[in-house]
Amino acid sequence: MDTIKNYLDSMFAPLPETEETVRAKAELGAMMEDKYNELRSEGVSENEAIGTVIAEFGNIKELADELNIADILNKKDGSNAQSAHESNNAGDTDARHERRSREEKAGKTEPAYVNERAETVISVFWPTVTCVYLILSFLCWGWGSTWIIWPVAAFVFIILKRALRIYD
Amino acid sequence: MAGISSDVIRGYNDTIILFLLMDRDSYGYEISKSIKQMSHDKYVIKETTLYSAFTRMEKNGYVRSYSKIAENGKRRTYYRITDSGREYYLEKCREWELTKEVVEHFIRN
Repeated sequence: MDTIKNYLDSMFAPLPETEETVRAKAELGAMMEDKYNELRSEGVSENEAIGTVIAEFGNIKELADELNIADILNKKDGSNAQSAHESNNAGDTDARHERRSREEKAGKTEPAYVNERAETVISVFWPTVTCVYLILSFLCWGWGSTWIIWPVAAFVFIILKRALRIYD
Repeated sequence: MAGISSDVIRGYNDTIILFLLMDRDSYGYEISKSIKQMSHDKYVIKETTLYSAFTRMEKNGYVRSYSKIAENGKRRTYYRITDSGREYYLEKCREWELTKEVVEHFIRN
């Protein structure tokens, strides 16, 4: 159960603590706990139950609109988004900025990144970490220690996101 | 058989959840379990998908949430369908009938 809690903690680590995110985390945690307990009561091993719960968790990005984190992120990025738009004229980046402002209007939260590859890296980051975690854990059967990957990954993710962002 | 595509079913997650709330109130895990059982394990809804549907539908006034102590003594968030949720469900059923009819014309077995 600790592994699941750690996983959830790391998923929410990059998000601001608001009424919505606190509630979402509690609800998701409750659903995961219920699923874990039921699997265990059906005789599924602890490790397999943890694996299933994490694999079926989904993608935290799905919650961006519902959690109102769009508003909060926009407020924080508002000024630099605008000046970046003015100072950057290269066609490729400009198109991205345009898309970005469109997305901001639509309430999306993804910031602009330096290039397409950076966007790809960001978008595949969590699925990759999840795969690595599951593969590593199943191969070495080291569920007791492999959870450490989550806090580490969360930290790396924040650094990565900062490093690959477009600043003015 | 290939697994179900989440892109295709996305438009009907709300319908599926509302259907399960028609007869009685329910909570997150119970709903996800019913979906899995009723679809004969062919559709397992992700936790984030389910939660995002709950909050969106509550915002739209299709469901109301309240907190209740469950049989096992744990506090849980239960969801109840509203009248406008029932209306929306019926509307989605009609939409599906039409969608199915249209797509069916272009399916070769």
